[in-house]
Amino acid sequence: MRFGSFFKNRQKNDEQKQEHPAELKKSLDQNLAVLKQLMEEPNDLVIRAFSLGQTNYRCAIVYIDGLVDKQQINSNVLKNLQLFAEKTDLPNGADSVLHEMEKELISVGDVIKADNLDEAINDLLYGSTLVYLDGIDKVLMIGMKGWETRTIMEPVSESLIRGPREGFTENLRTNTMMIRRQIRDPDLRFKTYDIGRRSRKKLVVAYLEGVAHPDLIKEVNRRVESIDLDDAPESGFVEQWIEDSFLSPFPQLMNTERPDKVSAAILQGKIGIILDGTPFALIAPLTIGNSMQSPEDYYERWMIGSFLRGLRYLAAFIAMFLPALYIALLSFHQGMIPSQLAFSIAATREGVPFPAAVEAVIMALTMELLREAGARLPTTIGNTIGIVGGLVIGEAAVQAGIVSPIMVIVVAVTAIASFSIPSYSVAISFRLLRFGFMLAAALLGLYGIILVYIMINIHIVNLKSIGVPYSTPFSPSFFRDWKDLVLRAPITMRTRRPSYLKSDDNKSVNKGET
Amino acid sequence: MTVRRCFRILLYLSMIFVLSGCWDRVEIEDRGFVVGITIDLAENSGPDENKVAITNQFVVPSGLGGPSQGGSEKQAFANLTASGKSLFAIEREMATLVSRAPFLPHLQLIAVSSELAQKENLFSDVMDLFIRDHEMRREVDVVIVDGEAKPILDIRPENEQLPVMHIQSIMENSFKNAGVIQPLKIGELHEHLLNNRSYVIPRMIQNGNTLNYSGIGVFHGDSNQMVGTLNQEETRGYILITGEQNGGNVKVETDDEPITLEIMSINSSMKITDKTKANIGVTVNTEVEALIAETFGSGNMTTKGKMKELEGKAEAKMERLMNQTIHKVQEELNADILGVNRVLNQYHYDFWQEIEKDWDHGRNYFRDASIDVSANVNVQSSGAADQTKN
Repeated sequence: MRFGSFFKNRQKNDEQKQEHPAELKKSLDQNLAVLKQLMEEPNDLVIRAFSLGQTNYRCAIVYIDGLVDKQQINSNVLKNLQLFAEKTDLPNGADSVLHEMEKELISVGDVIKADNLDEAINDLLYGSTLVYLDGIDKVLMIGMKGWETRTIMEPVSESLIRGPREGFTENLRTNTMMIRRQIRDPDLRFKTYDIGRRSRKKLVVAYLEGVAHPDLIKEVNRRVESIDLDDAPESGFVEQWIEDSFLSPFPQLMNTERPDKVSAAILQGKIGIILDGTPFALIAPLTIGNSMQSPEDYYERWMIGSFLRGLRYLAAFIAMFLPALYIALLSFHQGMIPSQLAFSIAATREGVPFPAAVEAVIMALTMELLREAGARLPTTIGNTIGIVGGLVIGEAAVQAGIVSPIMVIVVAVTAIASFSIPSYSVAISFRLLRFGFMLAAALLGLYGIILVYIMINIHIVNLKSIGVPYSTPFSPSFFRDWKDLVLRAPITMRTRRPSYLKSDDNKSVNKGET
Repeated sequence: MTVRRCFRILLYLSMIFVLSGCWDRVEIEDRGFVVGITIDLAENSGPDENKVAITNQFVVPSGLGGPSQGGSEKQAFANLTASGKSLFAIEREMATLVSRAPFLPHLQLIAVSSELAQKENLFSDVMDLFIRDHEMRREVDVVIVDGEAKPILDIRPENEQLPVMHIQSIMENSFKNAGVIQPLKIGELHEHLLNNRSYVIPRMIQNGNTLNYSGIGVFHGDSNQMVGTLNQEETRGYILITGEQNGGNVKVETDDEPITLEIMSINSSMKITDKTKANIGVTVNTEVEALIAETFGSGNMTTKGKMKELEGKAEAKMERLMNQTIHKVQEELNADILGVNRVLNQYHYDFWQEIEKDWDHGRNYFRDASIDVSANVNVQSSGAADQTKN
């Protein structure tokens, strides 16, 4: 009963909201009254009413304190309107005056005339300054946003030794600016959406017209349009809304803090999705090969790049399989270990009360706990966690006879390997799969590992990212793209954009050709 | 999800377990790693009934000690003996004697006593388990021990903790010495057992706490029984004839100065020159590349005359070694381990068909075959220095 009435009330509220008079009136007082009533006069709403010069035209400036650059408003809008209006001959009629104001008096670049209150309020809440004039049902929206933002800093989650040091910020404009600065091409498109019923966050879909495949653009836009959330505080919400399969452990869109990564992807024919309020941009589509790439592969010379990438594939293998192989070899296939090693492992496991599987699960879980604790804590305490973890895992657990020293090495190598995968979200899904492998190894040994491996492969070849097969260019095979897969061919040899993206303009390097 | 689909998924899941063959989960510390096995004739073995005694060397991992703990007081191995008629039954019986069931994939060495090897057909019967059983590897070394085999598992090596590992490293260093042959793997032994040719197995002599890996045991292909042994000298001749192995050394006397040559490579070829039943003529050509390893005299080695003389002396010595071996295998042992039968089989098949039945048994054509040897030594260099003293 009570709940019923609660929902009824809510419904009523919604209806009331929709009933509000969303129209601009001719009278200034009425307009201001509507505005005040709509927002219930919050104290960060500033309304400054005055006369235009020494004429009878009354006008008002409305803005939200904190979202606008007050100094600019004073010098470029208020001053102009109050002082300079007397010098010019103002035409008759509010319509012409407003036109005059837009054209002459307000010395700001971004001025839009609007006749829709909804639009005006939306802009007001996004940092626009509204200029009302008595006697006309139109309003000028002046874009002079100016709020406190974080400065551009080095990306925290993806640092490089060589490469640009700037990372995205929470400010959408700064982020689009950074991409613009990297790609000075008139074909660069920023398609803007408002995401969230209530929060109305700006979202930008960035791509290169003529390079990205039209169907891909269409599909990304269609999916972005379908987003119907109250709020998208982070691009993760967008990612989870538009991804192809929510049951898959693998991320289907790449997220990054690096503008160079996004612009490189856009130049390949991919699509960037940037959300206001978060430094993490999304790149679509993502393939399994991309998740092993780091921008540094391209910044360093090709041999170094190829070597580092090969190392990363090895790391991915270790991160997924090593504990499972340890279990399988120790519990099922002792004959596969070289004799001397088998004896010394048996010697170290003497007196360990748990089977290898339990031992491995204990250690892997402890490792995950340590990592989680270290990630959530401030850096100063994080160091303590490192020491405690090192002592607990490295020394005490062995001396207490709970685990064997070999297991410590296995866990440490696995952890290091999983940290060397460049994308955090990929690394974490690999870590997740590791437990699946460990379970399979504990039940069925190597046979179980192979079974799970086959299952994961079946899943990967079925998976798609924005309609692009996840396993490409391995399968479906595009052998030309293998130049930039495990090996990274010299730049002069990588003349084409990835074939699987089917770019209209697939040449990315011109060697004296027209 | 329909019932049908549920059923199908259950079916697939059950296949995982049903189609997987056999597996069992035994933790590594519960395995009794057997590294070496010796096979002897059991003491109560009668003349008609062959009972064998098997000794397993188990690794005691805790006795090995980690590198940080240094040498451990505990012994790193345990030897266990059981006897019976069936080897498999003995191995199973062994499981009841120790807390950790024998685990054989890490087996490194099978040592068979010469007494057992001399019994007709027993050797091949004993080897059957090691070739047939799925737990066994084909990389296990097989060796013949003079006398009783069991005591070799009890020697105390200087720098190894496991006697078997010690024996193995002794055998792996064999290339330094021309008096021994490469260790024989059980996979190769399987080949020998399958065809009827005579073969050799390396031999080991125990002398207190030291082991001497020298000479070979000669097995007759027909009965798979050890008919005799070749000593170190005779083994050198055998290697020169067959070219089975590179390495070793030859001591030569020139002008009362002993000079030791290090053999770098041996290439031998065998040809049939005469193929009548009455007289089968065989020539063996051995090309030897050698270096001067050591001289006991003074003087320059680089003169052509001196080199020629040295080579001539070395050739003469090698031919003598080879003839000595040929004499022994033809007259005494009656076993063609030199590979004449293989050459006949491969190049003179029709003729081989006629004499195969009576080759080194029965009518014994092998004994009557005349085998001529010639060695050709090429001393490549005088070593790192041409002269060390005046």
